[in-house]
Amino acid sequence: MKLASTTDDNELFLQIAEGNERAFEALFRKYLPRLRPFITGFVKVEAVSDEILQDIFLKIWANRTQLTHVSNPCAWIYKISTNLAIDHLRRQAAEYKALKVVAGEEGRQADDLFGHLTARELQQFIYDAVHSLPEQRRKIYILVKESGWSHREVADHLGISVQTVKNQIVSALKAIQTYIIQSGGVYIPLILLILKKI
Amino acid sequence: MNTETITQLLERYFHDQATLAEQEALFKYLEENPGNEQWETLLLKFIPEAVESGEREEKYNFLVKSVLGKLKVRNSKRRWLAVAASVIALLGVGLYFYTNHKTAGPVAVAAPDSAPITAPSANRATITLADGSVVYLDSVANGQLAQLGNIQLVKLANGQIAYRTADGQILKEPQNNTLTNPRGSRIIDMQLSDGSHVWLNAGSSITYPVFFTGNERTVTLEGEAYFEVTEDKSKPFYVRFSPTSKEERAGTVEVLGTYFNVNAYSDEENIKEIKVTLLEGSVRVSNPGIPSRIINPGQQAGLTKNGISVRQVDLNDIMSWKNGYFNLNDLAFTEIMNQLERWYDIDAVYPAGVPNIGLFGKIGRDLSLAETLTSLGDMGVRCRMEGKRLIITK
Repeated sequence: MKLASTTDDNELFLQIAEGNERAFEALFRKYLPRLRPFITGFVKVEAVSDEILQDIFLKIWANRTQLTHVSNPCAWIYKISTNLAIDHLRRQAAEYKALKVVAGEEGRQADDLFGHLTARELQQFIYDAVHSLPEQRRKIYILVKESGWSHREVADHLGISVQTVKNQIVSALKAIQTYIIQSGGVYIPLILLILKKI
Repeated sequence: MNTETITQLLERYFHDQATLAEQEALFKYLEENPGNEQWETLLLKFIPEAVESGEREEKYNFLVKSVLGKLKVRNSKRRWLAVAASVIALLGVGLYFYTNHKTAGPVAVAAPDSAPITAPSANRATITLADGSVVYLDSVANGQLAQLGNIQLVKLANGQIAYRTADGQILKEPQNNTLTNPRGSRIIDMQLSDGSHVWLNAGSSITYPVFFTGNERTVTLEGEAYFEVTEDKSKPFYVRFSPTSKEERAGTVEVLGTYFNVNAYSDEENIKEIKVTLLEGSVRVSNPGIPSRIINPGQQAGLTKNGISVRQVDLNDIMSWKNGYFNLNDLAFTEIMNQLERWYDIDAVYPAGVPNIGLFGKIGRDLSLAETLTSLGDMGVRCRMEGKRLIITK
């Protein structure tokens, strides 16, 4: 694999370590065109991909004093990026699994509902379904279904009772189910139509 | 499934050509293969080597602006936190209290009957070298403390201890040193040979190799320390805990370039757990025989031999010791006394039992013991000093 010029990057890293925001911007601009298509290719939803990219570079900034110890900045950035892409792929897998169970409860097979969707459409659909939930409910749903937290941990984390967590999960599942049913009947063809036009 | 099949699946997924069955196959395989290393190699191939011209500019402006904006917010927020911390330190006491029963009338705090005990003004830390010899850090001037092969142990002008590598032959045998910070000693700040920083609280010790050889960086901690670990994914950083006689405490914190605090004092009798609190980055907390946990910034993992619990905590409270004050929030009475014991090198005793008083707020660590006790007296704690013993009567 051809890496970007290591000496240039090392120089940028040194300047960033000293708190130089211009150097940081230069680094960000240099890597964005390569990393954004890469991450978007795997996470599919651009909003999520942008969040990940911001996260990577804000972390680099937050730990800037340590950058002088990185001998190959390009390889280092790629490594962080691939790891985050994998983490998010895993999350998608967990979400899809949860969604499939919810859909199955309606007596419909995943194939019926999602069979005609491409990976990008499917991920966008999951994203929309989860983001149609109210803030707190969404947070709880994501912690339990994506991150695998126990009800007790979520309760402690948010300072609410375990019963509230359980109630919110039930409500979230119902809402997602409704979303799927509605989408299965109306919205999915509509989305497809719009996508095809583009 | 072999690598070729996986690569094809990823390829189709990436280009949005995978069927639902293929997506499901990929997800299933992901779930079955949790190790990241294999995936890293596979995914790396998808990062484009060259970028089409014209790809670089305006298209990404919104993202760049968004991140640069957050940079400034983050900076100013930090500055504010630092200012807030120093204001509290200057005030000495920023204290609030409540008691279960409102105490009426004056509260007796007996004057100390011996020389007044002040806050530690010096650092009494020592380093035990591999050959057993002991270096007293406070008694030596700045500069070189010891030469270990091609590694120099130096004391910097700001009192920080650091290991510096010089050119020349490399240490053949890994050597372990132990930094011990006794009770009644100021916090000591040390830099390991890889650039990682460790702040060691009073009554704590850490054992570490002078130079990290091999594929990992492992240190052993007793007591409390705050770490700022240099990222080096090829050499994961581990903090281990030595089991104590009281209970079998073991466990590991695996670190990926990060800021975190570990409280593993074994004298906190009502707390049978090691507390790992994350400020930034990522750490995995594990103990043989139980599932490991990765915690997020702002979370604390409580590690016992039976399991790991994760909770949200106030980072300002947890980091009080490093920022110059005692934290009283969310702590048992005995835990608060443990802090005083270590800082003033005294022993608290409870002839009338442990008082049922809830305390909260913060007390500056630069106060003398008498001043601190007066503050506690205001909250209904009755006590007196006898030599180095603090007798709590109510």
